[in-house]
Amino acid sequence: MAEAVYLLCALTCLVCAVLLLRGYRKSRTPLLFWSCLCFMGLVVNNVLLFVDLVIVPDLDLRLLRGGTALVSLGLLLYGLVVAEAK
Amino acid sequence: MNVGLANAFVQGACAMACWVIGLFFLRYWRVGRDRLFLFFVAAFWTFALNWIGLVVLNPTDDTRHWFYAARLVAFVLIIAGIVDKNRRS
Amino acid sequence: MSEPIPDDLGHLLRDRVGSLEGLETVLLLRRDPGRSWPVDELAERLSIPVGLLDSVLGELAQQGLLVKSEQRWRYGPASDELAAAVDRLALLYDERRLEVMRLLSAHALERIRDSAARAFADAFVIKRKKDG
Repeated sequence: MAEAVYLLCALTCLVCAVLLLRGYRKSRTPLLFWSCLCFMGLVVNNVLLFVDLVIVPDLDLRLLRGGTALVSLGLLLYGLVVAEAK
Repeated sequence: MNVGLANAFVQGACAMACWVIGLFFLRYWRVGRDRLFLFFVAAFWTFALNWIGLVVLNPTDDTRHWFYAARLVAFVLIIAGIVDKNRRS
Repeated sequence: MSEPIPDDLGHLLRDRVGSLEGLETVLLLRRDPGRSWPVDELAERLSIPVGLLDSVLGELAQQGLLVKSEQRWRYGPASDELAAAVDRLALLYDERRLEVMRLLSAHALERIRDSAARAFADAFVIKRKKDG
């Protein structure tokens, strides 16, 4: 059950990333580029969550997970604050 | 390095980032009035609450999945927003 | 301190004039209404690159402020009210130049943020009309 949740989260992020990538190819708006990177990073984060809790429960991947999330969010923040548009 | 402490720090930073990202989306909503942004605000603020909860309440392995349910809520909000947007277009 | 910039002039600035380049262009052409200018002469006089000036002129003509005839441009407001409004705007620009420029910057920033937001929201529309 919990595993399904983690994978659904990863899938949602993937959908967002793909849509944003398509939008970026069309409009070339920098915000979309950074948002896309953020959601791709969140895919990694959610996959790591799945791996950490389900596949290798004896290993502690907490910091790696947290790091990927923080970096991803940082990229989105950069896009929102600095690089909004052309 | 104290892993627990470092982890709490990172989670706190993520919560703060999500708070601010939500604020930016809130501004987009106020200007353009596209409802999609409201969904994203709600989603990112749910992420923030999720991380805050993980740090403050420090759940054990058994109860931890409740917090990941919160993460699910956030993603359901995003999906709902996308569906709503497509229905409207 | 004086009253705020009147709403109608604010709208005129944002919707019809659009930018500082647009404002300078309109005011320059307005100074000598009978005269028609070719683009390169305007570009040199205003110190605006020709490419940018072309799109500015096109926009201003579409908004009913300028008239184009035989590759030359002149001042030609589409209505008396518009002419009167531009006259008031010219006066305002003379007397309160900094405020007008600040307002134009705010409009420009709004437009940028607006277009980024719209691009973001539009990205999530899944169905696409097939482009021919």
